[in-house]
Amino acid sequence: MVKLKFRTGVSLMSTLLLVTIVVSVAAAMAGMFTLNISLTNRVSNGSVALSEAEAGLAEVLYQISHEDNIEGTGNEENPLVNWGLNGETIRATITPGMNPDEAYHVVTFDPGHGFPYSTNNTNLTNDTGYQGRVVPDGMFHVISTGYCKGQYRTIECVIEKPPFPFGLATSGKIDSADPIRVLGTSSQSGYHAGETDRPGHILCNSPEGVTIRADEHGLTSTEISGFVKSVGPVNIEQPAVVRGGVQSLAEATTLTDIDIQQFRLGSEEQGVISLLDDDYHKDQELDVMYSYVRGGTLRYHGDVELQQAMIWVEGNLVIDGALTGEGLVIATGNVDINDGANLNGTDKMALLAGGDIDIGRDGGNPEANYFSGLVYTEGNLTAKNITIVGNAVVNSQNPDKGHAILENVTFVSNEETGDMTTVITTSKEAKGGYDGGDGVGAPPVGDMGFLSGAEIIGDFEQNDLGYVDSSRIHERDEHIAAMKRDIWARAEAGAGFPSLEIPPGLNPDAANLWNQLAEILEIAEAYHDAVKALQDQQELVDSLSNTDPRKPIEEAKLAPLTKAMNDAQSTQQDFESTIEGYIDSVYDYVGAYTDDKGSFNDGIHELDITKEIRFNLNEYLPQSDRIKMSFWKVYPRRM
Amino acid sequence: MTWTSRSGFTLSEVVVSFTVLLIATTMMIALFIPSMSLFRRQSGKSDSYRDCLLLMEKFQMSILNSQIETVTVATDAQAISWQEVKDGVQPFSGTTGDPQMSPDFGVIFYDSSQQRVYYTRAEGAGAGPNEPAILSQSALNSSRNISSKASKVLARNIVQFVITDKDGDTAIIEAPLKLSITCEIDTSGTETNDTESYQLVSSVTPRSRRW
Repeated sequence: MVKLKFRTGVSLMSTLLLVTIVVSVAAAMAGMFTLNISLTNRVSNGSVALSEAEAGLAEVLYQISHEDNIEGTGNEENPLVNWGLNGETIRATITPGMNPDEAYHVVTFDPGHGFPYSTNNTNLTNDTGYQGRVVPDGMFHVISTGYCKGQYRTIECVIEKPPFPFGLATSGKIDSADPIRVLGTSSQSGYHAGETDRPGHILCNSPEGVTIRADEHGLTSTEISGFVKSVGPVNIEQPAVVRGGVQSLAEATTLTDIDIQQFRLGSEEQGVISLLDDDYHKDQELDVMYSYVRGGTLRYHGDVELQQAMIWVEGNLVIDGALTGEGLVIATGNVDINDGANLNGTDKMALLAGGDIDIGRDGGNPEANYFSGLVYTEGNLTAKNITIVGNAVVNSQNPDKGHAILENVTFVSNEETGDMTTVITTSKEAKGGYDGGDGVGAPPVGDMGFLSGAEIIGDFEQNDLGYVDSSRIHERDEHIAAMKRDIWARAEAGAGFPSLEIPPGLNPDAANLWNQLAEILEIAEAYHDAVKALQDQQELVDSLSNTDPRKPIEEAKLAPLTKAMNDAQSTQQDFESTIEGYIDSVYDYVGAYTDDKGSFNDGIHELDITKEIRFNLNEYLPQSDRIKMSFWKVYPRRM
Repeated sequence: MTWTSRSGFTLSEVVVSFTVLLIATTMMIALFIPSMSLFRRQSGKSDSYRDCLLLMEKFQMSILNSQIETVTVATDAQAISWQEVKDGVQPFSGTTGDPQMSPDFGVIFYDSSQQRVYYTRAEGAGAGPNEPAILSQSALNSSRNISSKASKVLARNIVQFVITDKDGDTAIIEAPLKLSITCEIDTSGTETNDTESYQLVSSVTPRSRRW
């Protein structure tokens, strides 16, 4: 019996052992499969959750770029977006085949919502976001939560509308004969202090793309702190660093398209100086609005400094020196600027051309030659040996134009230039400008050499005295006193009087002044003639002996001559008041014209017109192109 | 005793029962051995698939969260580094919205002798929080140290690991960054003489960008 049981037990145990082993192995196999499937599913579901989160973010981008949701205030760069200010919530599912409980995305601007909330700080008051995040002014802090079957993915991002970000943007090809540098800065003054705290990007909309060659001597290398985006290929010879990477064969980007005709200044417009010569030989310090509508080429032979000034040129413009300062230069034709300037922290200008722009010169050093501001051309941009601190946009409708041809050039994309307001000042009295300045054509004032024996007044070549220029503007009272005193004294001396030589070909305003001077001199000359007549008569009388029968006759003539002299002398008051009126007229005239440096503001007429011209290079872009994400982070969990 | 003797199995019964047991066992083994082989193969395939997915997820997350300005791809295409973004209450600037950069870099690299992919960190190689930095090629190479405690295995049995970009020239990076990996597991045994491999290619573009 015991043996029978023992035998039966062995058989059962063997069977159980075998079954246990088999089941254990099968369970382990199933467990490992399950674990792997679980891991795989987790990754797969996480991927779906990330797609859901991206969809939520895309919906936000659509809403905040929708014109109906933008009100245009806030700060200048980032106008107020009213969507996202009233607790809006997006919850939807984009994954096919899944119901809203299995997969969804949630973006909410409601702080009381169960999910992490987003913040719209374009109204500049919501600067604290989820979990105490500080939200920058004018920006969005968006948190999009994606879910799929137990897996969460959360995207946190900051959305802004930064100023025009490209140091150089062209519709045509970009071709640099040697390495270029493209940097960026948040401010001109910051760059002046050596800060390059922003990236500098390049954009090319041409299928011909970007070509940047290496230095054949190996002394320099290309350095681009941002990215290069091009519709065509990008060929950058090594050594080169492009920190933001290359985006070749990309879609075209909308380019800034400025209508330069909107800035046209007619010569008849109030406050506009008509430039009456083609060539200006001295360095210019321009301080109002100038218009050159002669249709040829306006040439400045020296440097041009803008002091809140604007130049409109219908034709071509050549500046042999540097262009600096604050203001606006527009030419319908080509522009050549043949030199750069030292870097100045306050230079801020816009240079716009309907034709080509050629800037820089042979043999210069970009680190010593600067142009600061916006460069915009509808032709080609040719730049050499220069640093352009600002933004350069080359946008031509002509497919054969729009190129940037570069040689030893540095671009420093300046955030300030991307949205720049230029202040222009001028005066209602502004009229014209000559190469020689405001002395040209105007008659002399002051003593004019009357006491030093001048024989001709108005002989510019021989007696270049008494002309009002900027250095003598403040001598107005001295001019009046000297004229009154010296002309009258010369007349009173009765020993000869200078003649007036009026130059030919004067403009009507100047001719009128000469006529006023002639009137003054006529009064004085009449006095002079009366004095001389009396003196001559007195000498004649004195030369006759008392016995001379002619003496009584001649003596009798003295009385009317004395009366005539007294009458003439009595005109001194008129003479003096005429002088005062004359000086006023001369100052008005001189004040209405620029001096030989092109400056208008000499203290005679106030600058009573101010214009603010804003260049927001982003305003030409569709709203969706203006939006950029500066921060983006995905978390493999729910925040 | 006779009763007891009569209650036992006859020789015929024992022979028959053992024959039946033998047949049953043979049949089970015949079924089990191939399923073990099948398990090995499927397990290898599944492991390789899982390793590739997990590695790729790490790669994607890391690169998505980085800035392209901070990315360095080794000249041998078998390592990549990126500057990490600070974690914490304020991962971006409260004035510019730019990411607050950590001084540390993340590195994913491949060791072909071990057929393993590692993740490590190059700590303190970056500058201040506002300026993105980049690892030089030499710094990247020196961080590829498998014996370092900081180096953690991301995936095993990787026989191919190539990081490249759109144009294949990573001297100047053209996004997206592309990681190609092949995981191969030896599943050879008595019934099979095979390897299971899985290949995955993923393209990722860093999403944070300075404007």
